[in-house]
Amino acid sequence: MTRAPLPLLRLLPLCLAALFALAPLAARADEDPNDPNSPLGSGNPCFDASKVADSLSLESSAEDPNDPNAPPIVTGFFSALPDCAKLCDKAGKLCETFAKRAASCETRYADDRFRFNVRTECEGLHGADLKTCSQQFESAHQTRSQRAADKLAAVVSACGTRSADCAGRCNAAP
Amino acid sequence: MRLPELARAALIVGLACASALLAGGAARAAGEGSLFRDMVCRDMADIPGEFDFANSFVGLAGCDRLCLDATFVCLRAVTEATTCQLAFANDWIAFDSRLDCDGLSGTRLRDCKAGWALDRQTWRAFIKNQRLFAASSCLNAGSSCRGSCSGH
Repeated sequence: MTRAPLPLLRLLPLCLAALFALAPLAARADEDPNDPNSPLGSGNPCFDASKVADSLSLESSAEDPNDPNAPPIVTGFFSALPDCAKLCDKAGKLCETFAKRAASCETRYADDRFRFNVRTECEGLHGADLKTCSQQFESAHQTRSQRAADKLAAVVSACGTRSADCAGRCNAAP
Repeated sequence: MRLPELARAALIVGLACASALLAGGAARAAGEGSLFRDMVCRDMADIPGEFDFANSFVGLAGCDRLCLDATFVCLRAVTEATTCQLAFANDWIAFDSRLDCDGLSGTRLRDCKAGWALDRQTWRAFIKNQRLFAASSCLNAGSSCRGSCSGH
């Protein structure tokens, strides 16, 4: 297979300029209607962990050379390699790693939002007053943290399934 | 140029550039399959736009400090996305090169690996440049925030 060269360098300055110009226009990825008023802003700087497993490919499809109208033939990404099963396992672990990275970001950002809410809305309060004030933000904090944990559990399971499917195709390889 | 026109122009250039960046990977994805269909990290360029704290702390005693801390949160998010993208680039190239160079030997294997190493280097440089721009945007947001503190 001949590798396609990357014609990147000539376009790099234009690309960076475009990305820079677009930054303020980016859509807010995960605005929470129940907690829209963070002093940090209503956006979310983290990748959505629930999308990680779906982004994993681990398979390729090709047209049936004998029948162009037939459904594409799906083969495992590593089917032809002798260490296919090992690579599928490694890909599954990689999937988990990226999912954990995204979920950790969401958990940390939930903590940040809570902290900044308390620091701005409860400024100057101490003791019981501070505790009472901060409680109004606790529910949204818990919801966000729990949502990140739930996402992670689901994605780790999905990563395992994808990895097992990949390994299953190793056995089907010629 | 009005903002919508600027945005449209930037979008066209950005898409052209993204296509160029991913041309090699996309070609491989279409023909050979690939480990990931999509990026699993945030784009650094989008991160500063997720924050909006310029006027959030106006009138508070700790306004300056809050602006500084909010800037650090933005910078940390950029660093996390950078780390994620660097890991993604490494993993993508490790897996795809493993497949691409499989069965080769001698000079062809060396050339294959060298080509992938060059792709990796180019990709990493691109990511690090993006990080600089995004971090700069976070710092600018912090400056605006502190300006709001003193201007009030």
